Amino acid sequence: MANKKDPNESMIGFKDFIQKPQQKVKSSDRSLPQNFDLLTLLEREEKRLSLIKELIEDKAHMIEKYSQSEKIIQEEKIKSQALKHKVFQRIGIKNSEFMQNLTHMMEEFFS
Amino acid sequence: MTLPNYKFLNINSEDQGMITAQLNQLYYGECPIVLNILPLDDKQEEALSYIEEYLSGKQVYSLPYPVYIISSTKHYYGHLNIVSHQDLLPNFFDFKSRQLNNKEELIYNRIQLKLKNIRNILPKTYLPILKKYTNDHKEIYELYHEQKFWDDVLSEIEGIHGK
Repeated sequence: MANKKDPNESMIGFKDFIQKPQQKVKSSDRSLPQNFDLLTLLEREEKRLSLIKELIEDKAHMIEKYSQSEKIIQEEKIKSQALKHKVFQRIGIKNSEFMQNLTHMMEEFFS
Repeated sequence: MTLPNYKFLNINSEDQGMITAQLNQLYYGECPIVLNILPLDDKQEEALSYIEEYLSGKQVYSLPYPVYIISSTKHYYGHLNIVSHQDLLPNFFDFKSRQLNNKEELIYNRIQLKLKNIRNILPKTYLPILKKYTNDHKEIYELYHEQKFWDDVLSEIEGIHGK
């Protein structure tokens, strides 16, 4: 008859590992750029400055000459006005359902 | 040699003269600057208005390098870049400086050249254009939200009372 093995015996060597409380993993997001090569960072910075230069030299000129902003603002204002008009038309009619409900609610509340 | 990583400055007094003296020590547009006004506690808003006045007087722009302010104030609606904690600053400029090797120095020199170029052309001609462009886009954004609000109201009414 085989001897019954002590279950703890087979755990020798692993006990500490299992019982040891799990260490919290520290977030390394903040230290990420510090681990980067400085060369990479400088290259990125050069790229960023090139984009700024491009924005100023090429795009700003286009923006100044052919600005679309005013047209877009006008269109948005017209759309907004139309929607506002629609809303007030719906709620402003004397016998509209909205007015009836509102009158009913007011009467119930203040009577 | 100034690498483009954060330069920190603690503002210790809410007095306008002291703040101006502290801000005069900095070189703007060479690297991103972080002003910490957390030690001022309830005087932070006062200090913010002095800083804003100083920066607009000195014509310090967000390009090529921004100025960030660490402050816990929740009642500021100006154009300064405010963060509540140092960890919330963009990671891009967060690195340690050290002696550069030949290759890095070559890129650094190119960066300096580009910076000089940007500094020369930025305030004179293009800043008003970019400012107008950003203001226009803010207006478009607000108009879009207004439109969305009225659209929601209308669809709500139509949902209740039918089209």
